[in-house]
Amino acid sequence: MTTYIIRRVIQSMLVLVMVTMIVFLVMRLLPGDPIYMLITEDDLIQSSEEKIAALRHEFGLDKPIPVQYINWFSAAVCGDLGVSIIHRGKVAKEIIGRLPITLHIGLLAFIISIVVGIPLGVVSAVRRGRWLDTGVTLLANLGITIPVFWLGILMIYFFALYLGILPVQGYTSPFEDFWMSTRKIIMPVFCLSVFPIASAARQTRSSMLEIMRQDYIRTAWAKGLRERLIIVRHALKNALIPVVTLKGLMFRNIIGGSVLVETVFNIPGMGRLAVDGVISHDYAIVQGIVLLIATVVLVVNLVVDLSYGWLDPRIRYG
Amino acid sequence: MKGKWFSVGSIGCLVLLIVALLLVGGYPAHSQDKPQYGGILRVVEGAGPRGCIGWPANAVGNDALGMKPCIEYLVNQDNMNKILPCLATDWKVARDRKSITFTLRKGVKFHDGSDFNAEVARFNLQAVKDAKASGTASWTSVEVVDDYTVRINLSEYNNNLLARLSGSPGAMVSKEAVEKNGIEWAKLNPVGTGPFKFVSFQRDVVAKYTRNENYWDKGKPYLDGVELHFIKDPMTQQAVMRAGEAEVLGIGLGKMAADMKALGFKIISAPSGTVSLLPDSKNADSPFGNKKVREAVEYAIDREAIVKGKGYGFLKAAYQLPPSNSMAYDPNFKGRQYDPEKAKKLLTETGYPNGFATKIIPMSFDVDRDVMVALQSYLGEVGIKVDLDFVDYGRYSEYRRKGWHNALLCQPIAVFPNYNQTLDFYFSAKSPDFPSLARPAGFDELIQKSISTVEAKKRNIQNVLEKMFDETMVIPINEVGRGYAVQNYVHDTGHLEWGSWTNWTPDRAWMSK
Repeated sequence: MTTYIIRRVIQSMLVLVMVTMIVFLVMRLLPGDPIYMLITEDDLIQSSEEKIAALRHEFGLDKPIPVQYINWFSAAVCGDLGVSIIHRGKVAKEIIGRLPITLHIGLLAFIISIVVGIPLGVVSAVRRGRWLDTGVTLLANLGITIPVFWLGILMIYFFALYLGILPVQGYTSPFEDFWMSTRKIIMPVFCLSVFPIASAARQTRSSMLEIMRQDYIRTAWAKGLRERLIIVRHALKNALIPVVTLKGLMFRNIIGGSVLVETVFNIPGMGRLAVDGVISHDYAIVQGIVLLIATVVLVVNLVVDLSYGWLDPRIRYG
Repeated sequence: MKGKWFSVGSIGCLVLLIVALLLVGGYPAHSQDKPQYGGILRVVEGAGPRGCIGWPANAVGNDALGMKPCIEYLVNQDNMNKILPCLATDWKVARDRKSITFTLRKGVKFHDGSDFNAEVARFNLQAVKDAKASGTASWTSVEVVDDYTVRINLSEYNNNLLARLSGSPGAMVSKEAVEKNGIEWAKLNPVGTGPFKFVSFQRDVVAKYTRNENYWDKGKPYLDGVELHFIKDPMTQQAVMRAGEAEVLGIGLGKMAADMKALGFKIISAPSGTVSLLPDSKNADSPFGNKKVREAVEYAIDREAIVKGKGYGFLKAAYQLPPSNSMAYDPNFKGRQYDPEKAKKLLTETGYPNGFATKIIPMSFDVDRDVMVALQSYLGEVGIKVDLDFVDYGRYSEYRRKGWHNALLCQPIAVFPNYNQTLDFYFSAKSPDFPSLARPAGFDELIQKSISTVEAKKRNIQNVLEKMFDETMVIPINEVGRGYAVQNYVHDTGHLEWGSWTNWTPDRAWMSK
């Protein structure tokens, strides 16, 4: 087990280096000079070539790309993610300022998707062919297909404009004003959790149906075990492996996948920061966020892999 | 007799009816009413400051938005280029035009309690000069004359200089606060003399200000505070206004303005410039090097149809470079009206009977894509095959700076209250802008003559514009502008009345709610 973890950590480090290298290169191959994105129309006309060259030097953009990468990576290892070209602020500080907001909303949506989605899938599988199954399947299909920004707009019109019970937009920290914070995140959390709930319900249902057909489940029924025991202890635990894989894949969306919701509800989170960074060619911001997302994905993948052993003791790590 | 009685009676009834209607409040409150105190004014803008709202020397673009409620300038400038006092009560241009001397307002204190005086003014002006801020190139030095008099010495005078001091170069912040806390601190903690004190700033989210009880203009401001909210998504912006979560919303003119008007909001609007095509007329092998080809392009475009389709009643077709609110605008000027047959004839005369292929490179964020498609279509009708090359701001800036080939750049040419500033900014020989755009012989001399008078003169400006028209230097398409949707209970915000769109009057604004 320990050997397996060490091997996976080393592999993850290599993947991390490759991911940062690819992103670093791709960002620099995009057409458009970040220095020209930085200077305003006023500066464009007033700035001499020397001033533009000085700006390029300030951000280290006058060096060869391999040197730029080595400089960035060696600083990143020490926790310095560089300076934003557009905002001129420390990237790490920018990310630290936005991460709690994204985690607050994203984690809540993630937890809700587990708490609601998996039981819905189980109930749907157990009551297969009945009205409850039909209802859950219909809702799950809707949840998978509904565009999140459209849902957000509908919610704003209904809850904020028509009923007037929720604020349209914005984010307030729960430590500043818990009640206002809760009112403000209801709609974004709901929007963010719809797709994960639907996908978790569908995956759980399909997995459960497969397990329920297994001989050992039939034996359990024949032995006269209680339904709850059969479903929870014998069926669900075995059905969870693909669901855990799915949830592991979706965990990364907490950080990188909330951009539409953050835009519609005007939430200053990581998604918006990342997209604005790409649009404005803010290399340091994009690299910092990709590094964070890649790290999260690699850690979650490791945790997911390790959880298989707990869910199915037949799985061994070599 | 009976008829006369009837007439007097009906007039009397009408008067009584009007009085009754007025008494029951059947008319909207407006700026003639007595201002009321209280309330927080929430202004929504699509984009906010990047992060320097307290150190004018490094402020760029939207940073001025964050300064305005709490920092004041030496002078103010209205849309018709009238320079008005603010922290300077008077100014004099030296006879030799080698200096401008400012008399400063007495009894003004910064929000940290320190005094505003000539030394503080010198400190601020010197900082923008050292930072080589826009408009300071001709400042040779800044000196204190006495406690309340400061002088800017000049290498050469131009009549844009005072106007520049109604923006960031003329902004005054507390010297004491900057020296005590450092410039990095000052960038995010503005300490000015303005009607509101800075409270907090969260980039891309909100900037908050509270009433300055010790404001030098006694009795003002009327509001308890100001909040600037930054919301990108137009649908969310509209919902915020409809839900009553904001009082003022910055909008573009066109559909959004029409929608907000239909929802019952007051709309304040003003042209901010003219969308224009800029040909690469300097390149000898470009078709646009030929004046007749440029004229053909102008005749080929039906500007009235474009603004009818996309303007929603807010935009006008442009046949001259200055928009209709500019001091330089000539209401009698006809320009080159839509005439595709004449366009085809001109193309035939110049050796392009079947047209040619070219491209339009629009400044994507600032021009309407549908208008670009319309241009493509109109030029196609006379045989000019156009590709549209939508590039990001950075790439577009590179074209502006380094040049373009066999193409037309397309962007708004901004209007400054002193139109000389527009001409100098974009087209003078000193400007590195648009290197592929040919400037005809004698053109720069006309600009220099126009900007060197003590005050701007319309005749001089029009001489420059006439030369531009004769040479078809640029091809104006339509006016563009900014607008504000305002709740009906909000008054006297002064938006779009003070030169730059970032300038407004938070000190005078009030709410009747």
